[in-house]
Amino acid sequence: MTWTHTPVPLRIAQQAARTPEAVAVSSPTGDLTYRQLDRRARSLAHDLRSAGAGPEHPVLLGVRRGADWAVGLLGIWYAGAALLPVDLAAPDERLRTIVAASGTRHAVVPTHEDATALRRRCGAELFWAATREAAPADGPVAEVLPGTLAYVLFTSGSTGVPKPVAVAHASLEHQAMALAGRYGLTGEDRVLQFAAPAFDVSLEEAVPTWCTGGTAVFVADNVLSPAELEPVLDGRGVTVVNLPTPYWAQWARDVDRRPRPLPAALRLAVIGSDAGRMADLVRWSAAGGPPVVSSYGLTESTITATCYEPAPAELAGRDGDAVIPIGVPLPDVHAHVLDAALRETPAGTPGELYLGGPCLARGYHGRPGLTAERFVADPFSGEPGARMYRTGDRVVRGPDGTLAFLGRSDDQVKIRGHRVELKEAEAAVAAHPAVRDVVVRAVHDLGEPRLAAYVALDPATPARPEEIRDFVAGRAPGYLVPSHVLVLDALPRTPGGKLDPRALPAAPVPQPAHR
Amino acid sequence: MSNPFENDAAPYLVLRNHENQHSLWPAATAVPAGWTRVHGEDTRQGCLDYVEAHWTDMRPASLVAALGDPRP
Repeated sequence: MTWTHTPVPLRIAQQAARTPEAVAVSSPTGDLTYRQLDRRARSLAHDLRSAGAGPEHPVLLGVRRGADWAVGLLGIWYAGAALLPVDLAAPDERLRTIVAASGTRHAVVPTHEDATALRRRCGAELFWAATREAAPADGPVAEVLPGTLAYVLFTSGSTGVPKPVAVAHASLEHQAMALAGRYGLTGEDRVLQFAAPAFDVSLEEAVPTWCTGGTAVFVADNVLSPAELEPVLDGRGVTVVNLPTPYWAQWARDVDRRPRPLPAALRLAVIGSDAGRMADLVRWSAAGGPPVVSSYGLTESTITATCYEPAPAELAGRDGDAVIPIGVPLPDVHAHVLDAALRETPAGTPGELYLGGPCLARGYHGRPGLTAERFVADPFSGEPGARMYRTGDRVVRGPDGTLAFLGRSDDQVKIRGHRVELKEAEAAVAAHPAVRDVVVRAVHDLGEPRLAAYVALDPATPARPEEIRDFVAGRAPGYLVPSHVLVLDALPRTPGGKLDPRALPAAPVPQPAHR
Repeated sequence: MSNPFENDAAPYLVLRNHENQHSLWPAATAVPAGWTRVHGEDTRQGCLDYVEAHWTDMRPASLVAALGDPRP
């Protein structure tokens, strides 16, 4: 695939010049046309530049989803700076870690009151600009080079410190154009904004949409059940949704149990962030659901890297328990399945998935060692000096080239769409003063994985399991909080001193508390 | 399946490309085109220590040249 290299901010500005009266943002609190979005973003960019923000500067975006997010994101990019999205519901400690690790000196907030609150929470003096208070100014859109930083996004980290993934404009543009093509987006599309702003899928929803003149449709800032979402999609004329696979699976099962017409305008459901089962695709298809594209990728591969779209005929006779394949790479993305000697495995032989091409992030912001470990020299590329990212995912290539997911090579697990490394959850539990030793395991007995923490306590400072859980909940994001804390006299070890996971007792299955 | 980048007992190299990007690399594997050995053989940790000490400006070299300015 070829396209002229035009960075995303300029593409959106050009779109605004072509279709100024088209609706770019539809939200419960009002709409923004492309002209309004462009003007407000230019004003914000003017304020940010005046405050010293520019290329290679991460600017913290501290807003909820909706018009403020759209204006803030575009304003940061118009200023030539890099987006640093945060979850305002995260504990103060996580915000402080993100501010310190990113080196950010600027924040975008809705109003100056929000700036005061954010500074207090971050414990840092940040220059700020407000999406709702920028004085009208018709500044230029900064020209950015392909290698310039577009965003820094924090994922889970193995030492308890989150990993800041740095993505360049060239990768963002590749992602936007490849997905706009893959999802067939046009100016007629109305694309749901479902993902939280601190999650990069929010960019996958909005950026390809704005590069093709469509409307980003925001809903109220709380999580609806699939049955509650349906009338909203119908009423707002949504044509494309992008949902976490487990959430969509719940929807597929609900429609299967209680057949009904699905939202009339809905033409495509993109699913991802977690593995799903073929049985739910069969249910969805039988219930008359629109085509599904299952997408796979990582923050390090600039969101989606591969897609799987089953032809209806393929669904017949498929083993329902089989995991939905991760599919085939997007244009220009290279997927290699390698063995322990870095040789490509033949079809049918499992290996670890390595990804190469323009989708690769620049690396981990300010973390050279970690970057050199994961983004490594690519012996398969025709381009000298190219890199590939080792995903840590075990996959197998089928005879038709489709990649199937087998599991994680290391101890990462997806909790509610967040990639969690068990070591990070362990670090959060180990911070409790009474905890002497801890191991966290993922429990997969119910659909959604849960975390179980096994702890050995200091005999001098007894603590109840609930106290430890509450302690973690007060300091770490919700997806790091274990569902269970089990207190043991000592953690079972092998003679070599390694944890013996087989000797750990099973975590109890939770009883439904409110139903 | 053991990963060739995660073996604490094996010797490693540090490679560097035209963008000043650094890569850990197993010493037993041929160096890919476009990469130069800048450190090693050494232990895995020795290589990572080298990277931490020497890859201090992580911006791609072509960007640094084009921006022509000191770091932000």
